[in-house]
Amino acid sequence: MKKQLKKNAAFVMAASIAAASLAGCGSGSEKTDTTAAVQATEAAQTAAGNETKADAGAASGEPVTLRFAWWGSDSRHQALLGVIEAYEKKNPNVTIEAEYQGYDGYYEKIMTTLSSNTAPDIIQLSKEWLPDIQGAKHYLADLSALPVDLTTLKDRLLEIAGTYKGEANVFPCTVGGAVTYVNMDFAEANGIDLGKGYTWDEIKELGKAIHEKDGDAYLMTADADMLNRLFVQPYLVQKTGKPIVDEESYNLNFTEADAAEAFQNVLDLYENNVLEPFGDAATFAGQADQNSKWINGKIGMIVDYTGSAPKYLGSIDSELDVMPIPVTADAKSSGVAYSGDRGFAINDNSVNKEEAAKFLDFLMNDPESIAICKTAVGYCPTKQSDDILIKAGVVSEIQKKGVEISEPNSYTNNMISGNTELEVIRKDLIQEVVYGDVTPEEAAKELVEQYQEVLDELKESK
Amino acid sequence: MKLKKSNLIAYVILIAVGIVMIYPLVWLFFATFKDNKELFGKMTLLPESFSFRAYREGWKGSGQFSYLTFYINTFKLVVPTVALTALSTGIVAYGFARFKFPMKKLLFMLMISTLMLPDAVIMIPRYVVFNKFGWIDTYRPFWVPALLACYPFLIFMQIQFLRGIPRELDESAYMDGCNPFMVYVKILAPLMKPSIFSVVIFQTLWRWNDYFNNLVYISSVKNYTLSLALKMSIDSQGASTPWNQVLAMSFISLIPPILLYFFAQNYFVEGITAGGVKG
Repeated sequence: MKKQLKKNAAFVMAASIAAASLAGCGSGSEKTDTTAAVQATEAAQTAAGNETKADAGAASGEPVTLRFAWWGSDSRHQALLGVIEAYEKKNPNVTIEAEYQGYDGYYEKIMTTLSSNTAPDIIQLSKEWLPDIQGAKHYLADLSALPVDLTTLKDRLLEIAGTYKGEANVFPCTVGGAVTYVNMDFAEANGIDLGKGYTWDEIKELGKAIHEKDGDAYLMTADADMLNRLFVQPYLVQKTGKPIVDEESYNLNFTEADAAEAFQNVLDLYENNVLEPFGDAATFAGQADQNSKWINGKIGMIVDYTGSAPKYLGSIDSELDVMPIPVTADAKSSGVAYSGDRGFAINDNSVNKEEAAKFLDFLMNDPESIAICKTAVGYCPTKQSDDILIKAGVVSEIQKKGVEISEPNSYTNNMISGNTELEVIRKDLIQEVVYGDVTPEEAAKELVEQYQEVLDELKESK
Repeated sequence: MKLKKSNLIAYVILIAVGIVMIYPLVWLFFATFKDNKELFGKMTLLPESFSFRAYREGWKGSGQFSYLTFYINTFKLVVPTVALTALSTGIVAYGFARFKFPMKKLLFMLMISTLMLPDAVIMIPRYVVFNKFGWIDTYRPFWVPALLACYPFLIFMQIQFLRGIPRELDESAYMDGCNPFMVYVKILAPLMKPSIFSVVIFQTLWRWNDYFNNLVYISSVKNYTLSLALKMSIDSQGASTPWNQVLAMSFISLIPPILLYFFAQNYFVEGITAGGVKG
């Protein structure tokens, strides 16, 4: 017992010594940390003078450390780490610290770091976040003033996917739209014609027949988010040929009758058993590729973005193909928002903006980098990337076809139509319609009223 | 030996409940051998084939850092935090349980009130403070609060336990010439072993499984802990996730806490019940 006690005491002592020494080390490095931070903020605050100094330093080969944050899966991590390695080899004075993670929590983390001035220098962003981030404060640098070549981007891509209030803030790293993914075994068994270009009414007939033949099978599945972005919104655009809200006047581009029709369309899809029951699909919300009916070939189609091609490709045994999304009989547009939903931005508070821009230029425009990235970072946003990657044979046929299909007759969405508040209102109403709490007409009335309210408010604060 | 009938029923119920409890872990283990199609397409427990590829591939991590780094990082975060917590909360509990000092009631109430405070409320102010100190992307936001006994629940638990230890023991030690600190070290600490073990186990499990604090305070991948690393390759925005690798690494990351629990189980149960009953 006594021995045990001594041992314990010894352990306690050892631990406290260790703690003390740790604390000691800590305070040392902490000092350098804080001084570095102070320097950083000082430099950021006094704009022009210090910046030129920093740049001069960089040019003369002084060591520069850049922080680069992105989200993704292993393939994207490996691709971007490869690019960093290649860049560091060419520019030995530059060290790039990679800060990568999965998608969950990324947005929150970037917002926190931006507002506390601890954000990375180069940041991967989703296009939808741009109003939240740049609207709050001028957090992101104007890329057109930095040494990054924006002319390589495909036609109008910068304008539709990277510009906020007339300033180029995001370098889009992917391009695409929405398509219908089709299980080819299912298509053959049920006589689906991919070249046909289905209307919503034809889809309903087809889906009804399929479910009557096999009570277990459905033509399609969708969760609340998909219904919102890939069914109702495109339907409204197909009716009018314009984004749902006008960017200049903040007026609605659709009528109450259009909205009622769009809601009725969704309801019909459920009543005719074209869509898998909403409750079942909700289990796989956000991960339709993991839907057990889809995996087992009991669901034939999923409408989703072209960027999701890899996950659908890997999910089923049978062949996968794509076709355009269904349209209304009198469609004025395909209803597909052809754009780039992701891109890279540079932190406006960074001391090394120029160096960060040089790296961004290498990342997106250099043939070497494009060859390393393949399509792991995004699908061919620049003119030269198509040629390089098709020659190398690394572009997935399905994704290529999907992007090609989604472009013709597409429309360009504006920022206000993608407003999060509007999205939430629409999504809630769709669910009420699906559950039969309100009729499509009531929902349409409610939608128009609530939209008007939100838009009036936004217009005032504009 | 003959089992009584009532015992038999009890055993049947216990075994059934036990199976229900352990099933998710068993499922997790077998799921590491399935690919995505099998994982989501079939309901069967046993995989079609056994191969440790998922473990081999998963261990490589992102390619830049393997799970060895993440494992070591997790230990670097958890071990000092747990050791410091065990030391600091014990001393604070000793102070509250054994001494009279001015404003003791008020201070005790303050301490207990922080127990009621939801974590989400102090998240942002805490981040701001740690950021000012320049502690972001280090493990200091975890170590220092542990050193300063910022775990009111653990303090409270130990106070309750200390109240169950007769004061006569302290008094006899004073008679023999011990000072208050040595009374704690030599007399009380050994007797508090069960409650200290509870602190160690609780704190280890909490820190080991913590995701949110790690996410907020740790930014560079070289400092990532297991809980961050496991989420690192899950991109719900398009790419397909190799779930078997994620699950394989989850399974491996579960092993140390499970081992700890098994080895310290006896003390653990004793510690909580003793703290609870004798309050």
